[in-house]
Amino acid sequence: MRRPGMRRAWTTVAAALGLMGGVAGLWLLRREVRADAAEGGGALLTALSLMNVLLLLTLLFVLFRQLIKGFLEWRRQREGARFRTRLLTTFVLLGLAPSLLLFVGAIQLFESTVDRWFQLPVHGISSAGQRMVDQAMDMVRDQTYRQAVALAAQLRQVPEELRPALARHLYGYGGLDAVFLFDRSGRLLVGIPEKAPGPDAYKVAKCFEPQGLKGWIDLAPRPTVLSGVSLDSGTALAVGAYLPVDLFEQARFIAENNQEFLKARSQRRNVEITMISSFLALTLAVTFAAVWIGTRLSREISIPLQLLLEGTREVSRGNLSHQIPYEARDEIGQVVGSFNRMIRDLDTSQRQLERSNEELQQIGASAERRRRYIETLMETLPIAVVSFGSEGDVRMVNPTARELLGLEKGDPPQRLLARPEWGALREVLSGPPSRDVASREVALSGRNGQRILSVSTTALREAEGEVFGSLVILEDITDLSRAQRIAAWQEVARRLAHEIKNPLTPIRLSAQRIRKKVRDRADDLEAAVLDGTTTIEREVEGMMTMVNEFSRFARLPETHLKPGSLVSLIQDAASTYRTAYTKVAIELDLPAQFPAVRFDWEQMHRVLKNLFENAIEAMEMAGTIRVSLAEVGGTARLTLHDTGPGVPKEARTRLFLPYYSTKRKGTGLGLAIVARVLEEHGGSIRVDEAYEGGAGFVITLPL
Amino acid sequence: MTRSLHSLAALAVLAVLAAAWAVPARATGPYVSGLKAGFENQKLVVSFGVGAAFDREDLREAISSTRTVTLTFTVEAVKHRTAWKNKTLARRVVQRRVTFDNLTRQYTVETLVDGQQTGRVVVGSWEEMAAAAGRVEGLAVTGVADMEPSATYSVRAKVRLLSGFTLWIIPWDVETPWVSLELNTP
Repeated sequence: MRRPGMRRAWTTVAAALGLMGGVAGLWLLRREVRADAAEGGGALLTALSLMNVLLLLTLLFVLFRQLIKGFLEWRRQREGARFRTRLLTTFVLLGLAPSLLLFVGAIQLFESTVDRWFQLPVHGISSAGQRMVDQAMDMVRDQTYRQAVALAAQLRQVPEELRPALARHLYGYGGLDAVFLFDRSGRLLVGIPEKAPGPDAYKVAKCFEPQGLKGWIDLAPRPTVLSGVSLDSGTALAVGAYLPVDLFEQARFIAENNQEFLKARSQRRNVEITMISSFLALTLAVTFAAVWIGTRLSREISIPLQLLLEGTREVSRGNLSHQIPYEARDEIGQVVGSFNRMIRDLDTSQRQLERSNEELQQIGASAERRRRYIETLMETLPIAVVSFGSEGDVRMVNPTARELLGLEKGDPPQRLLARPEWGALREVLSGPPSRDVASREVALSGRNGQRILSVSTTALREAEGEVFGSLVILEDITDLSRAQRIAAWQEVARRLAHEIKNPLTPIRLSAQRIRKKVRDRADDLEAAVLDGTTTIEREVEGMMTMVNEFSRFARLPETHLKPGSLVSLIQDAASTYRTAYTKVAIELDLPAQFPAVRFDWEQMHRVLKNLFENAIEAMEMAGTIRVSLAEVGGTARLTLHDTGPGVPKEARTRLFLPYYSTKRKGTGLGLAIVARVLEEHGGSIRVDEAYEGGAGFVITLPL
Repeated sequence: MTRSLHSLAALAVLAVLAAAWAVPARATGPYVSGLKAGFENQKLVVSFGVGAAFDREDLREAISSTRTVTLTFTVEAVKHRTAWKNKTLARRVVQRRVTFDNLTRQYTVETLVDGQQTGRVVVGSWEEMAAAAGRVEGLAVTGVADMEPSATYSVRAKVRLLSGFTLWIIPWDVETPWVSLELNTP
């Protein structure tokens, strides 16, 4: 591709040469138009013709080249070829049509003007004037010739030696202005006037010709008409007459003007052709300029267009590093600049997208590695894990869970919830996944007999706190539960032995005291018997009470769940203790509207009574109890806080076991009964670890 | 660039061929008459004239319009060279400038040899003017000393009469074709 600088340089040189040629052409035209009339010079015509031929050839070449080029580009489906050809054609037509019209019009105008110059009247006047001059001159010629013939006739009649004298004599009488008598060599025998030059050789020869010399006009030293004839073979006579000055001046004026007319007329075709050539040169120059400008403009417009098309094609191929190498300050340049900026921005965006994609891939790979790690972890974990989605659907069941829950390999996890033998577990698993961490024990009867599972449910939350599922950890604690139960019964036996042993001592002591009093026949025997039997009776009654409590714990009534209002339950329980204990403030934070909950009114009332009594006793009959109820994650959460001394940390894990009590006279069955009642409701109770102002309990019931 | 030049050259050749085709046939045009060449006084002397010239209407009209019409007689002595371009030994140009005076009805014929005026005659008739302007006699072209002895030379001559036009607008000289004769040097 030619460098733009070189192209501009060539354009400048061509324009300068064209300007110089134009100036030179104008100068030649101005000079030659005047010279043509006098000399008929052809330099202008030659220059014009050469210029015309060159312009024509160049124009034809350029047009032919553009035609071929456009055709080839059209055949090759080059971008912008049609537009460029159309633009060039338009420019050529726009340049050619007015130029041709002007050319034809100017030629017609010039032809009519020239015709008027040489029209018939002018030509007739000029010719008539010339004929008048010719006739006047002919008259003078004829007159001098007749005089010469007459004088020669007289001279022939005299002897040769007398002829000079006779000639001088006749000069005086004939009214002649000059008389020459000479021989064949031109030697003057007589020359009048004395200083006048004789006839030259041509005239001498003409005088000796048969017709003689007829009316030869000499203009110097003064206009003279000379005629001559031969006298004999060796002598000739010539006579001259001066032309009248006025006649000669008029004749010369007419002749000179006729000369100019004749010259101009003879140059008519030259002038016409000169003008036609000039107009043709101008027409060709204008057409050439139109073609040149059209070519240049079409190139200037189509090249950036073509570059834009190529650019869009490159971009569509995905080459976003492509930039259009075109710079200009016009609107096209601005469009190209905007296109380049757009491509750069796209390139930058794509690179950012690629980086983001790489990062996402890395994150994905990391997540995949983490997923595989977790999957492997789940596969190898000896703990059974089941995960649920936010809709309660089973997402994952690890092999341990499958084995534990009796799922065959390949069974869809959803079958887990459909199996009837896992109804108790389904009740737990199909619960709302958004519940917080909760755990309970579930006894299942399956093909392998009854199993006890520890079911821990943990809500899975996003960073923003949104629950997206839950994780359930199942642990077969059948053996552990059995061991704990044995331990519990051992504890029960120990406590029973202890409790039974404690009253046995005063009973034995009372019996021994009575026996001694009887044996000693003591005076106070009666008092001792009464006292001893009273003691024995009191201790036995205490033992009976203890046995009754144990029996009640062992034989809790059957739970009957019915939809009811927890708010009413709480308000009913609270009103009882507000009346009985005036120093105890019971504050309730209950919602105005709360969904119905399925519960056994009597048993839940017993739960609240137990908790209220424990709190009042711990506060030593004075303090504040705050009860609140709220719906949290699809469960009813009941919170009870008191202002008592609170539950020691070491006692919190064993607080809900039977026969464990922090009170001196407690049986240790109250909170165990509470926990068991709540289990029968599908709920739970736990110590509120976050509360530090006393003892706090959190009861959760399913909604 | 080279392709462009080639295209331009091809177009120029086509144009020249077209122009040559458009040039009028010269079968009835002027011709060189009476070409004679010989050696006189150790010089190559040439005489020749132009025929079918002074009865041409365009020449008669041009001279009668009182314009100065120049008849150009060109003669060259050429040495033949085998397989090489002929060598022009000498070239002489004789111009006859004819001017008609419509007042005196006299024709002035001036003779210029290689641009230098060598003669001037004034005659009173067309025929005398034709005789004076239409022939060159005894023109010494070159000296024998400048020629190879016993060699063959060509003497060729042509006469240009007027400027005309071809292809309507392109100037084109009305002239005779070259006529040549061969002679051997002594």
